[in-house]
Amino acid sequence: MDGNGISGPPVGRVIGTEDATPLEFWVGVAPDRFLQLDDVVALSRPLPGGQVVHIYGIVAQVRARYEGANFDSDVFLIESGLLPAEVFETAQVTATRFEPEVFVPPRPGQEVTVAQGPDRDKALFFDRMTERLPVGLSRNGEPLFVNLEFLDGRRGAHVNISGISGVATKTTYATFLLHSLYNSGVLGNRSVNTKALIFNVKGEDLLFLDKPNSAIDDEQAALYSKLGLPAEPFRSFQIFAPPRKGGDVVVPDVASRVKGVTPFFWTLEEFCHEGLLPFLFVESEDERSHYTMVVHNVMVQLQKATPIGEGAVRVEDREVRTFRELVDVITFKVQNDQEWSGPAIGAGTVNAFVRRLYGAVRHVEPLIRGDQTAPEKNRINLDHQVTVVDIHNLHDRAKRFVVGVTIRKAFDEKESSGQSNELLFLVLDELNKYAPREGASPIKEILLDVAERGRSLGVILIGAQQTASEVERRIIANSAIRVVGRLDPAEASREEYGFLPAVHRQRATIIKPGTMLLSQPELPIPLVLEFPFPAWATRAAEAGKADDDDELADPFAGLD
Amino acid sequence: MKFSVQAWAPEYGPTAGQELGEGDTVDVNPELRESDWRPLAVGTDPAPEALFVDGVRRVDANLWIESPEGAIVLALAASYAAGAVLSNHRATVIAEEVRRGIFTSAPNAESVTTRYGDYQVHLTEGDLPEKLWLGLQGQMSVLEGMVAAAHIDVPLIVVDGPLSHRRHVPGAVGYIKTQHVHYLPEPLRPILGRLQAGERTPIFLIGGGAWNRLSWYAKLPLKSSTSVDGLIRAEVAAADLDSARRVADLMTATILRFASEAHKDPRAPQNLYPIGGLERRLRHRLGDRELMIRGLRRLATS
Repeated sequence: MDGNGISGPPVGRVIGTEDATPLEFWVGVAPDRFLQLDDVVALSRPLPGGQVVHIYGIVAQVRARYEGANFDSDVFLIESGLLPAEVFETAQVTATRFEPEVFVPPRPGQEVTVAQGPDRDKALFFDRMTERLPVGLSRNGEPLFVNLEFLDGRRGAHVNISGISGVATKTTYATFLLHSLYNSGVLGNRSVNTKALIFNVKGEDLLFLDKPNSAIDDEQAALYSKLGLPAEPFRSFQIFAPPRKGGDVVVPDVASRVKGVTPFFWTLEEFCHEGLLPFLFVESEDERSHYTMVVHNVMVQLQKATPIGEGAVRVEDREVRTFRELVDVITFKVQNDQEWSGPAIGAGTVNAFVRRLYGAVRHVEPLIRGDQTAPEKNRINLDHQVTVVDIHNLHDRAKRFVVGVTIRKAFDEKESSGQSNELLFLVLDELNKYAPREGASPIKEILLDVAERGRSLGVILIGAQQTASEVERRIIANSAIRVVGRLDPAEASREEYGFLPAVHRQRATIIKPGTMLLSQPELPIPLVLEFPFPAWATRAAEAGKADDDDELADPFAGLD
Repeated sequence: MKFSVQAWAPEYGPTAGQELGEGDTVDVNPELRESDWRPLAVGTDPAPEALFVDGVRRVDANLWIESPEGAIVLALAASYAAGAVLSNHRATVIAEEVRRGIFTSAPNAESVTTRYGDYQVHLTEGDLPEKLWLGLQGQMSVLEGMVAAAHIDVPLIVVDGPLSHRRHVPGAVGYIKTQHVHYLPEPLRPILGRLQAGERTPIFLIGGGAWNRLSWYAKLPLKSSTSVDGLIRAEVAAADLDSARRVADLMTATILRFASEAHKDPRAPQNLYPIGGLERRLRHRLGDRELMIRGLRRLATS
């Protein structure tokens, strides 16, 4: 166009009946052309003196009107051939980039072209991304990227995903991001030692990440190849699930998958020596109560427990092999020994502590035990690239305990190794439960730690929640990449989504599963992207037939 | 050419076009004898396709042109436009022409080219404002005639206003919205009050002037209670009576659906929808008057 360096089909001209500003302008669409939302456009504006400014932008809104109609009811006159009128379309463009950075408005009448190839890359800053991570496809099937520097901690870190359950496909998108991280080659040789820890909080849909999805067709596979990704499941993968309640034999408590699931629990020895007691008292009501003092004192006392093998301990001459026994000992001690309860603690406070502690027994009993030989093989580890910890069957208190303890442990290990080069991704849905906006709790502190210090340690949080307004502000604020799926209309109007322009907020209330709005620091406007159907199974039915036979052949797997 | 611009109050309101002139005669007998006159119901189907032709004009400024001898002569700098709407299943503007002119009797007047448009000189017969206006009116009508002549294959061509300069367009019907002149003799006038929508009067001949016209009155439907009138007059160039009758019936039947409503057009129902829409569009095409004045001023001072 004009020989000024921008080539592409002309699509319209800047109109002068609405203000054209450097940030936003309107384009009159030529009669035989069309522009749709999210189209990328470009134009060149010559300046006096010969310099040419290239202005790039994204279509944020398109409108069509009758020209020549004065009244709404004129539509009937026009359509019945009584009144002459023309339909005219205009597109509102939000500028993304000026090259060079001379912030002048485009001039009314200037020709606007569709940005393609290198122009499109410039408009979306892809040309500046040396390490770019494919995150989805645009509506017209072109790949969209995120600058890895804003994900791996160099210039920013953390991903936050919001959206209504079931429609927003938050965890699916999180796993898609992991797939892209591992397979796009963007991590280079770091990908071998980069780990992902995923908490499966709802359903059993994350338990088949290593199974190919039988529902994937050629069309979906083609989308993967457009992104430069293989349409295949995760290769290095392990699952930990809590043991079924009751019984001395440890069997993973999952219904849909038998093979390849390791039951996990903590030994009483770990519970005592690693100070895990506070993770049983993590609800906001615990924070307000006086018994936090008692919790702390008991934790200190438990660290004196003597290991007696198989994870069991001896506490003050009593041999303890189950969590229930431990609670009995603690109860007896806090009620009779000032050393345990702490000085000047009233009987009421002690009883409140005991009540809370007993309340936990039923839920965490299978998770904390000293009755198994070789318990170390039931310890959650990160030996594989992707580790799923299934907690969906657990009670809320147990969920919080597992999440708190696991993240804390992973974080501590990362902190002590000081290796920020090898990344650890933590994927956690229902962030509002673990780091609510109000109150304080040990889990929230750990998540805040991850959010604020994880960046320098290579611990990256991929958090998700239905409503960002219910999650601790600092966690959201520290997320460089923000993703939004379908939102509830009331939620979409909250200030937490201030990074979405008004039109995108509106769109967030109607977008369909598989579509996301993604905001990254370099781009002033969110990208609207679609991501392909998962190449891994998300439920047993998708996991393919051959594999079922395989599983039936060994119905007792995991019973060792 | 040396001239100055006077932008204030250039609008006069002379009546446009040619109505009953001096020496015109009316003969009411061509179709029915005077004694048989009555409202005639029209049984014809509406035309499937109709062309509506209209023009607009605007005086942009009064100019004072200085002759070589130092005398000062009045001129009008005006913009005018003509266009046509073809209405079948859609209403489409199929022609729009915009012109600008300087209307004056000053012999040394020259065409000027401003930044925003060219003004062509049209010499008038006198320097009275009314003569200048007639010159403008005439040019506009000529332009309308040009626009209409390009589309004579349409079964019904309705030209807004008396035919006058457009009379050479084959088949064109002049459409007169307001009735200032009584053509009918006193005893026949009550018939006009009895006309119902879709009815017309018998055809009468207006002659004796420069050319002869066959004319009739028709009635439009009153779509709301605030419309009081709905009476229009139409005329065609006098040819044979049969073809005039065919056109009269066709036109009376066709324009019914185009009648406008009072809340959409102050001249409802006579100002037909396509004509109202076309006028708005043409007025818009004349451009911004302030801008045109600016262009003229710049030339006047340079």
